[in-house]
Amino acid sequence: METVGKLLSFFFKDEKTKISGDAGILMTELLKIFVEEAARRSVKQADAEDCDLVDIEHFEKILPQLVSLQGPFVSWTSSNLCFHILCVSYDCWGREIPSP
Amino acid sequence: MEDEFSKTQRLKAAVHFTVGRLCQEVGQDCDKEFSKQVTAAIAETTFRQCDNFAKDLEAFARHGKRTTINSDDVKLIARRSPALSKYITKKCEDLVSANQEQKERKKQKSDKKRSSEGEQAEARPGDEDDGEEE
Repeated sequence: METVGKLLSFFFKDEKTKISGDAGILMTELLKIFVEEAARRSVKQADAEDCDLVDIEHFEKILPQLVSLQGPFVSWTSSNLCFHILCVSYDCWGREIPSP
Repeated sequence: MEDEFSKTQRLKAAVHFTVGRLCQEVGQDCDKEFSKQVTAAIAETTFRQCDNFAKDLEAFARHGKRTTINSDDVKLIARRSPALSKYITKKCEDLVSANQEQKERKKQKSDKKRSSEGEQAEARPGDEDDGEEE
């Protein structure tokens, strides 16, 4: 958590800006979700290409959606790991669910 | 500036370490392996995303005429994704209730201490000064 505080402070333009304890905890959680999301989307991409090793090309393919200016369009539930990637969704077995 | 550079390197290394650990966990969960390049790429992307988050958080706080970033600013960051927003809001509520519990516990402790000191003071009127110092 301390690292997250130092990391964010590193980018602040104003040296007076500080981050509250609660906000730090929430940001740590948010960043953890971001990393997990990137990892899981890459895995799904590797799955779709029938690869056991998640390689850079898989990550490159999911990167634009992950950091798009529209914000991460993620809808997930930790219980069944269902991902919504823009208009495509996968169920927990990795099968594509046709969107309405 | 060499100091800036080494600070960046240290921060990036810390991010890389944590990202590597998280990728390992996800890999074990999904029965897949992550190549070193992917871990490095995710770490670099996270580092850059922190830059965006930090600048947004700072702007939100400044908009609210504050210098300290609070949980409302974090909730704003997460606003675009409904599920993410819900998750962060819930976490925030959990933190608030946990803080309240802590405060109540502290209050109870100090009340107990005060009442026990009061009893001691009644039993030994000569030692009142010592009791107050504690």
